[in-house]
Amino acid sequence: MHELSIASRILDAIVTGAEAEGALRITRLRVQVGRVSGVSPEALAFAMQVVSPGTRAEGLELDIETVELVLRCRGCSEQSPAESLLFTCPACGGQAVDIVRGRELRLVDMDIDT
Amino acid sequence: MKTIRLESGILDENDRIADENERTLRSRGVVTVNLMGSPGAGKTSLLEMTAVKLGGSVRWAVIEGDIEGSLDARRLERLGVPVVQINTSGACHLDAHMVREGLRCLDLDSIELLFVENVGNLVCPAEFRIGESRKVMVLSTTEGEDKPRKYPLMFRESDLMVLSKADLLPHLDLDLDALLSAVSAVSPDLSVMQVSSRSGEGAGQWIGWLRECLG
Repeated sequence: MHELSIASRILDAIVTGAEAEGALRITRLRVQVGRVSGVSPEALAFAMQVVSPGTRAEGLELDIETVELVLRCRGCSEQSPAESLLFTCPACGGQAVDIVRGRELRLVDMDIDT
Repeated sequence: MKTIRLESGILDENDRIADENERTLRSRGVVTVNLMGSPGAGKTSLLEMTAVKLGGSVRWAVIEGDIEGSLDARRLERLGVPVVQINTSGACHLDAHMVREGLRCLDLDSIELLFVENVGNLVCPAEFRIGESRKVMVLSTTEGEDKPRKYPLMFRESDLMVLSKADLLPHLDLDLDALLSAVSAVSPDLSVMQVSSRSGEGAGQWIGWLRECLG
């Protein structure tokens, strides 16, 4: 259900944007979804298919870029990609880490037909 | 065909309304606690215990978020707490827009503390800011020591974790040390408080924390 409400927000945003450009159709949308954004790319793709029929976005190609988790360690200051979601510094094993990347939920760009 | 740059966050609109809620609440001097946790973790029981312990010493209200129905709201109304019920009609979390609607039903000048009891769920509520001053999560002793590693985001987002149903600890196989080390592994700054709404254990510490938030 979570991805469905996210998909509705995306649809509202891109349809409003497409209307402003005088577009008849949105053919492709590129979004970034972080590994720890809480959104599943598969479920989001499915939800977009559910919400878009009957709108300018019907049949659009959804291009989802997954953003890997990158942590910065407060101990050793190393910034590194994390292979697991356990929030442990891959360099020194420290547990005090901040998320640098991986929480993204962003609209990047879209292709429209005018 | 034409490519349009969008470069915007999907939750930007939610964050904008959350900022607006936060300003509204702060300007009226209301401290707002977003209370999150699994279904059955004991969020409403914690609020019932809070009502009894606070008595009339703090003027407060609750926004209850549920997918359907108003069972929790009635439990709190019985204790004389003003409650606004929000039904999300299927959505698994409260968002800033829903909370803004809830705020319109409250007399903010007559309260100093507002609890927003989120929809029971360890995942989605962590992602949506609602304009709160503090995020508190309730994890019950019956949920197991693996939850921080399975649902790290909520643990990372929260300011305080209430370990509820603490009176059950002697009867459970829960490895408390393993749970606490899992909590500090995923969220090193998170404070943990053991509370039993049933026996009153930890109630003083909880009420003390709330009073500290109220300043």
